[in-house]
Amino acid sequence: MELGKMIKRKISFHLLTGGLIVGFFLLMLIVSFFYTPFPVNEMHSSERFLPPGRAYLLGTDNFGRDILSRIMKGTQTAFFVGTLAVCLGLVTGAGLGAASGYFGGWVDRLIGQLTATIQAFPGVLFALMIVAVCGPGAVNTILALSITAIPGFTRITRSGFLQFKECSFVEAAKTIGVGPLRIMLRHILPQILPELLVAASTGFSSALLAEAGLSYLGLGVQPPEPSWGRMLNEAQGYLFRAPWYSLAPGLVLILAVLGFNLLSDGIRDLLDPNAEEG
Amino acid sequence: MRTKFSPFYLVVLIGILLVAAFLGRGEWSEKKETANKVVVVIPQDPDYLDPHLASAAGTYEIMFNVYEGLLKPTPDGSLLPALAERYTVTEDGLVYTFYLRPGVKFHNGQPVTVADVKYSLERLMGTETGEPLSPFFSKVVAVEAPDERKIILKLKEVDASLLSNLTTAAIVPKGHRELNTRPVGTGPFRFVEYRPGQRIILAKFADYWQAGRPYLDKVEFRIIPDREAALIALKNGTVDIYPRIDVNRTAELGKDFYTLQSMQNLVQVLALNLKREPFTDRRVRRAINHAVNKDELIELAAFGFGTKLGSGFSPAMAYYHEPGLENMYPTDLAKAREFLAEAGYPDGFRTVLTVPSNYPFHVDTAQIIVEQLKKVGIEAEIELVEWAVWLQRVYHGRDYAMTITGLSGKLDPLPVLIRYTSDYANNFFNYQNPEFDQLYRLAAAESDPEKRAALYKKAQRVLAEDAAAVFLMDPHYIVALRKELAGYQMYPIYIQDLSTVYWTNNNPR
Amino acid sequence: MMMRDLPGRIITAVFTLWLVSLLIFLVFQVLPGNPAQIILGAEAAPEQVAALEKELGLDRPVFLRYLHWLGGVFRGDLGNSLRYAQPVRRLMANSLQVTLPVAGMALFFILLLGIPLGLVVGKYHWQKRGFFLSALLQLGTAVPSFWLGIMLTLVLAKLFRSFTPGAFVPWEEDWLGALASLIPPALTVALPKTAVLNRYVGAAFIEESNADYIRTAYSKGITEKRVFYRHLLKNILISVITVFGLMGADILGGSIIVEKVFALPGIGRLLIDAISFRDFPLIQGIALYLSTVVVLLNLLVDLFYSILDPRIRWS
Repeated sequence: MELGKMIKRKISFHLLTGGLIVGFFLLMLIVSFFYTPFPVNEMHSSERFLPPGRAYLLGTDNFGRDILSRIMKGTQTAFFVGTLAVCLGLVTGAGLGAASGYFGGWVDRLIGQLTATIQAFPGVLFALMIVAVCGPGAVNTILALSITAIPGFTRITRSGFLQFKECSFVEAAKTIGVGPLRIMLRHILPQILPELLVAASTGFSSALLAEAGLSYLGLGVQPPEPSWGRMLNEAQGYLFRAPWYSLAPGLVLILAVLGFNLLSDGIRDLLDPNAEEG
Repeated sequence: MRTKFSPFYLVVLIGILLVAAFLGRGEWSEKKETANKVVVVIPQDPDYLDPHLASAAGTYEIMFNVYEGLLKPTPDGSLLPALAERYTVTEDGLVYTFYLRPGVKFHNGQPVTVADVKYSLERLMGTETGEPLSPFFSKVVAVEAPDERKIILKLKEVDASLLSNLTTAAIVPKGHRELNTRPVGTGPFRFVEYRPGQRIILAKFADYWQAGRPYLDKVEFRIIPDREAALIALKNGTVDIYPRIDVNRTAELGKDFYTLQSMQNLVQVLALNLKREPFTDRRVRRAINHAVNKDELIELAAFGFGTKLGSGFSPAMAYYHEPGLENMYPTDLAKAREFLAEAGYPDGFRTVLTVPSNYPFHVDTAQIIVEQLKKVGIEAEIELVEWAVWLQRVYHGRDYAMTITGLSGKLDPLPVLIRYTSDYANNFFNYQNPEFDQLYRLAAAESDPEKRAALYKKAQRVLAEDAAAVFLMDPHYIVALRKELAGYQMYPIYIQDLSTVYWTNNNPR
Repeated sequence: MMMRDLPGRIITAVFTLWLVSLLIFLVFQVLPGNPAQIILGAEAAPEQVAALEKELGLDRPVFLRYLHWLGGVFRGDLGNSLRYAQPVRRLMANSLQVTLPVAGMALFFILLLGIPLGLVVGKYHWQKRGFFLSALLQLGTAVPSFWLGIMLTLVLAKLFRSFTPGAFVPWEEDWLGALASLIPPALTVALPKTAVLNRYVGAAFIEESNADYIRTAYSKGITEKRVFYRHLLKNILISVITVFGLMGADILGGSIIVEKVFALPGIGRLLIDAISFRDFPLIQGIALYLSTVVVLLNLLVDLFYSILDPRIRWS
């Protein structure tokens, strides 16, 4: 059995499966804007706790709302929060990391202390505090998640900049008088972009998990807007009466996280030259 | 390279997992003792064990078993002489004389004296410190103890609620400084232990003045905030009594349990900020009253276990309750739209419904009401806030548009109706109506019970006609008990009286 | 090199802890909510609230209260909780009686399951069963722990009628029962993290079996098992430490979410309580504990790295 071939197959497997799953969720996201089997918040008092069946594919909840429709709509919430949290974290983190790695000295120390403080701050405490001050909701969830995501991106960017700032092409650019901002953006950033991309993909799946966790605690997205985590929170109260209500949002969440994990693995393997050598 | 990692490992691991899961069933955590004991599940910690500092309903329901006042409430809402064996009132209603029951002892063995009563009442009134711990005795000008049996309370004006307020004025030993850590009272049970977040343990007080009571040797209040966990704890025998079990869960209990239910004398209300547009307009408020379908709400949120309300008073106190008001605004979308159009909102309006996030029942109610209001064009956005924020911003700051809350009932109608009087500090409705204020004042000064009841009823009608709020329901209080338990009594106030509870089989647990 | 850095690292760590407490203090400046009001409930009279505020010292500015608290910390005194009127230290000790055993057991499960399974994955990674197993582990890393907890509750309650989440018995009363009631939460914490450790161990195994000296050994016809194991062991240890560095804080800090699922009176629940009651000293105490765990852990992980592999420097 040739190892190289096997690894190639594995790469395409990760990428393919991950891509398919993510694609499926993107499709669900787009469809949910135009169509859900039932209006998301419509209540049917005579059709509560229906098990999955023909009319309601995934059953109904305690208000007789269609679980499938709410899961579909929940995709919007999840992607909205995930995307914005990762983007905010990425931009801020990369900016800080770049400054830290490029300039070094006291800038580096200051930023290092900042990220160390963020990391030392217990994550959920952070979210709880933000929610306590600003109130719960999607925007504040995004804020909390993006702040906790910053140190990771900072570390990657910083080490990338440390590695590349003394490279010949950077030195060359410097000698011909290219400004620092331009060097950072045009010459160094592209070098570490792939790594950041992988981190962003992983970060997205952790943001999905974190959003669900916060909403499960009742701190994240607020009713009646559907969120997978919030649905689980409500479903736990009817665990024995309607187990399918707990099951469906959880499985969907796992699938989405799995998809993004696989995708980031796939991208990493693709980009990592060592992987090909086997 | 042949190393010896075989599927054998997996088998071993799965085995370990199963053993772990087996251990996890928690059978060993069950009590092995066979004491004459009952475990009651409660959702939260008490605020203060010192009865004069405590104000949370969740504390009173526990400590009702430990502390007593001169009078004690009974299940039908009337008053039973407790530490006072009897009392007399002068005709003008300004002087009350209480005769101390002889032979009553504190849990520490000391006899209860008039000095203890005087000390306790004066501590509440803040006679010495100048800072009252309780607002209920502001009309009392003097507490006197002329001899060893008599306590005389002198009032500056008639106070119709004085007697019911005395039920919560716990009598404690004079000068006992550690009430908050070592509570000492005269109740049927004495305090043994409190572990924050875990449990409170009480034990039978052998020298209790009501002979024969209590029947139980030990009572444990187990703190389990999670309703799901509380239910499972009940089902598997960790807990014997589950007060305020979710209505939708009673069906799961099976034949080892039974439930009791009654109105809990709570007014669940959709409050509309009367100082904020568009709720200043009575037509808008009436439109909302017509749009909210209370029957559907009771079905969806309370699984049918609720009593529809029409004003700020629960039928639980039948003597004072004005019936029929709940049908003043039948659900009628056409009429609601008509009222809205008249008020200048033919297409409805947008508003915000602020709800405390720690009450799932109110959050559910909010979701249903939002859907109902949508049908007449009113788009309400739900805003969940922490309890702390709700208290400060909504309740005290009166900064809100709509909110949902539950107003707990009292033994006496005055503290229920005072919430709507113009100058009441916590009138978060912003309700101001001179007619209502006048009725309240007259009732407070009226010493004839029948005339008083008539005034209370009239006041309720005024509230309903003004559509001061949307009075939703009195959600029923349901308690689930192990079938071998008997003697549990329901009260129109928030208490757990365990002095009458007993095991019917002589082989408890 | 390492030891020379140590004092500086410790100073930075203490500084970080102080920054965290300062941040919490600043948040408290803008946090709405009055502890006395919350403790006494909605219908407490203003007189009662005022009296309680005075008793709790809430009439003093937050700044002074913060300084007072900070002074106490240096004397080893975390102050009294506003909500429970008990020493913060005692409250935290009570909660840690729940959280730390869960953490310990979770760690035990992670190592017990993670290392052997990881080796299996590494060994058979190019075969179908290894591939299948690693796919399963992928799935494992994607499972949110609270959902796992909910499902575990469902299954255990269906299997064993006597299973109670949240029925935590104090240790001194029935230590066996206490232990038993903490196993499902420990499993819930452990399983997703086990999957992560598996992947690291698997990767370490693959890396090691592809290393040049092993290949050389094979080409010489020698089965250098001992060399192989020694290196493998070191690599496994490194992966364990890496994983622990990544998740130790999660585990030791007590997963707030898992504690909610099983309704355990752990440090996470205490924290949520403390925040909803605006219990300043209690929040500061718990935050101090949690951030100390994070900072110490980072320090320890770096220390171990440098002992195991002198080439790895402070990053």
